Amino acid sequence: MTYRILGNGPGFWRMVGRGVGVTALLAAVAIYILGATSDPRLQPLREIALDISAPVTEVVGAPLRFVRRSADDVGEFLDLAAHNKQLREDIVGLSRWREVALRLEAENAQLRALNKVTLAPRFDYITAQVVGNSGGAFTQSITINAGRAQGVRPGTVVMDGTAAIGRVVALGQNAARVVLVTDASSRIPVLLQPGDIRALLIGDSTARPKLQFLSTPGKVTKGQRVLTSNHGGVFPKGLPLGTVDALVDNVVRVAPSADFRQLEFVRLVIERVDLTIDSDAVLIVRSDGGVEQEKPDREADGQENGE
Amino acid sequence: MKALWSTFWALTLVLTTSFLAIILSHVALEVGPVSTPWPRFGIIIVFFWMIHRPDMMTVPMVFMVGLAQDLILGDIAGAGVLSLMIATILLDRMLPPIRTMPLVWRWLGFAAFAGLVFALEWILTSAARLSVQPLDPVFVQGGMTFLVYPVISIAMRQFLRIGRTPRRAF
Repeated sequence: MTYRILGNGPGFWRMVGRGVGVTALLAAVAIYILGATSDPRLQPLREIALDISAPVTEVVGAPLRFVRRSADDVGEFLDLAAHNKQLREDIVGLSRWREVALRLEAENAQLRALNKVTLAPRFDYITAQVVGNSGGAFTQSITINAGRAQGVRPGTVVMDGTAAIGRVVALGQNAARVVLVTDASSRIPVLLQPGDIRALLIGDSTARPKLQFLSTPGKVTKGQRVLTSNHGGVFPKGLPLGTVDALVDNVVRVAPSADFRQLEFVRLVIERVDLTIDSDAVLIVRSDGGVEQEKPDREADGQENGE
Repeated sequence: MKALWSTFWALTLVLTTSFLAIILSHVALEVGPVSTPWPRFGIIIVFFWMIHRPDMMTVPMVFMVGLAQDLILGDIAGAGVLSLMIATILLDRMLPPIRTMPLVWRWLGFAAFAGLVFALEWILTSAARLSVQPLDPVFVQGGMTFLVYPVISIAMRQFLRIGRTPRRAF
């Protein structure tokens, strides 16, 4: 018997099959339009998919990750001598930097004491494991095993330990999807240092995202550090992203600092909200985005009421 | 009753293998821009069942598998499912003759199917993002998927004891 994908069998059932097939096709077109416009109505579906797929991927991927890690270990063992040499050279370089860091730390503490500045920590950190990835051809994103239940929020910044690698775009109860800085949909306001040049880091699905809308294009040089600038309010200021790598045909490319190959665990940067709100306090949101509390004056209220 | 059970088990098997194939595409062995794109096992499974149980891999089933793939892998929702459905409908007439052919011919059929799916998804993704997406990762992932097909096909045929004709399948 020859099967036709749009309906089989005698007249009536063939028509029903075609009707169902055409409906499914129209539904796919509708979902594509919603997906292309990033419509929030697809969010519940994404959450369900994340919550179902993340734990299964973690279990299915465990033996594969074990095999890959073992292969890596064997490779590293074979390169032991070269690694040792490299590490010795790194130690010499880092010792010099340690001295510089200690001196700067002491100087910083001295200056803070002089100014009586007390800096409260602004961020909390959550560590999560990378359980899945998008596969690479059309999207560059990862799935992590921390979600709403662990305090992750949409837009939460994700780091590999030292450098920012992306931000949370979809949330499940115990899983989240992180779009990487190299993805074609990624746009991050950045600051180039030294020079304080403002720009936009734009992912284009290559290993080296590009910089556009530079405030002073003439001052860009290879090796400048690329940091987040907090314009737009998603990324906190000063997180390292990478360094200026190449200037080819007026396109400035950035080499990300994160080592994506070794990405097994990530750190999520959660902005701390330290407000304790009394039941009868009034919360005021200032025009600059800050928040402050104002307590009602009970005594004045009492006098006004004729007591 | 026996026929009903057979259909039920076949449906369960098709759904389970499709879900596992998508999960396998989602496993993070390497991450990010420098990683080697991992094959799309979902496309392989859809084609495999179109060949061996075409009565199970209907348009609504392709829709479900494609949607699950888009949502789990985090691609633009609808781009994968739409390209999979269009390729399925377009190549529907090509499939009956190659169902009983040797593996090499089925492999060539798969090449046409996967090529069409990747091309359509590339077009739909580029249209949704209003910019031409790079082709290199698409070629690499397409090539990987093409190379893996015979391995998956032989393994599943051996495991499920599937013969040459679809009617004798499990």
